[in-house]
Amino acid sequence: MCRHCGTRVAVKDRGGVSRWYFPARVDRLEAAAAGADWLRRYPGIARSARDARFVDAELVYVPIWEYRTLLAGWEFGRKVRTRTESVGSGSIMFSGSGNFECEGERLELRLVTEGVKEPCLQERRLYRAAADFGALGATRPKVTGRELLLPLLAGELDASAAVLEVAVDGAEVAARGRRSAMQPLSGAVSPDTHLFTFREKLALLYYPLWVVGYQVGAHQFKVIVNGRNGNINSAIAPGDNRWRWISLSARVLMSIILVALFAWLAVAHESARTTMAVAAVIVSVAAALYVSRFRTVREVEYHEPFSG
Amino acid sequence: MLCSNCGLSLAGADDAAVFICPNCGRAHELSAEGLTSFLPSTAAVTTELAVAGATHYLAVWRLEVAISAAADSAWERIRKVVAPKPAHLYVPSFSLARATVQRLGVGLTEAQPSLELSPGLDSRLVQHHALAAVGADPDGTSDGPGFGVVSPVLVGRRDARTLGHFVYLAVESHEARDLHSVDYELEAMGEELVFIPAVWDPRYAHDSNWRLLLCEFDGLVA
Repeated sequence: MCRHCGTRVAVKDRGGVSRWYFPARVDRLEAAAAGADWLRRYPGIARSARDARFVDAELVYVPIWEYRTLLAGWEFGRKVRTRTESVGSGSIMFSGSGNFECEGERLELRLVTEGVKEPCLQERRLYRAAADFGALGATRPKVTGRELLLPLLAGELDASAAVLEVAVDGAEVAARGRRSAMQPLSGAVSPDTHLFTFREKLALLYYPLWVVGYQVGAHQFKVIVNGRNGNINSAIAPGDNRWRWISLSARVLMSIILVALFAWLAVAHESARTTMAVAAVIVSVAAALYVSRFRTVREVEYHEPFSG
Repeated sequence: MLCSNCGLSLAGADDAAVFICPNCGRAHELSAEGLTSFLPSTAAVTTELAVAGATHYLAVWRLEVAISAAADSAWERIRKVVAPKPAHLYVPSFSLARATVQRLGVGLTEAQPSLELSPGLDSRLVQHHALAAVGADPDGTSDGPGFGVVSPVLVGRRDARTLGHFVYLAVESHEARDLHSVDYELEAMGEELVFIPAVWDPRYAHDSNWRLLLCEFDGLVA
């Protein structure tokens, strides 16, 4: 709409895709604070990492493909479902309290076939990562389609922010979105579907993520913080092995005591010598297996649920 | 966007597919070549019963179609009833709500009303719409259709052809109780944008709260 004369303006489609971005609502300090909070609270992290020193924080906009379409059509077919039915020759009696009661009647579950006539006229959406988020150590943030988006114009984004390059073909995403939208949902057995897509749109959405780096000893780790809500998107931290070592030591000690006990019994009681010797061997083998399989946890990894 | 006929600024919401000139009533649709203008038609009120409430004009695409369907299909029955005149498919285009498109589309297609059409949209109606829109409830919280005298046109010509399939299947589904599959071929030969007079009345819950002011629907008035 022209701000001067109020005339509506339509822009001719020149091909390509429209680009939008989610405005960042979390600043550098808030992102670092969110990372520090996660390190303090998340279980299984090494004590040395709890108060780690944050060394850098970079805002990165990651691209996400959005495929939208309107879907119209119908699904016909048959569906099998269970239905509760009352069976038996129940005799109806008039009780003293004034109510009717049935005797000898019971409920049974039966499989019944029902016709399906399912209309559909709705919007369907598909979101796919447009770059390798794994290389960044992040997962695709959850997008509902109802968030505030702003058109991405030249110079619109923070100059210090990095933008991931698009590495996934949009046509591929559109084809996948179309296939996904056309999937029948009625649950009918071999349904006769007549579904049509229209008003298909493909857009690139840029999502802000803070990559917050911290140092533990000589090693660098990072926490990815959602730039819109401050939640932890993904994180890696050194694992805590103290309790694992204590548990291993206790088990080995217990095994040694048991083996010593069985050996003493084998020497002291001639009648149980063979049994005790076998028991001592079994415990020794079990302890050896446990020790050989023991591994220290190097890193604790976290990914935001319902993302990906 | 300016009217190709009189040069005035076109009216229409952000989600509109067709824009109406408030001066001459010509419709304009966006296409690859730019704005394409055409003249919509307005149907006259033919109801013989009393009308209570303000009359609105609902945008509906009337599709001329060639359908090959089973001999016992609902469409064949409709076609025989209106013969020798051609039967049309009606696609409501003022809403994309499934229930509205389905109910009014089925109602109009089954009734095949004899519309008394006049070319163009009366400029007084469109201007009334523009004035009404100024004072309209922006949140749509008040009970009502959410637009002025003339409805917006949210479905374009191409989309109407797609929705024609939806309405056709709705008609078949409406008549047959035990329908498990539909075998048909539908080809749209042409389409015409028609504004049909109606009254917003919440008592017409089965017609998405619209009472169509056409004599074919008089039997439905309680």
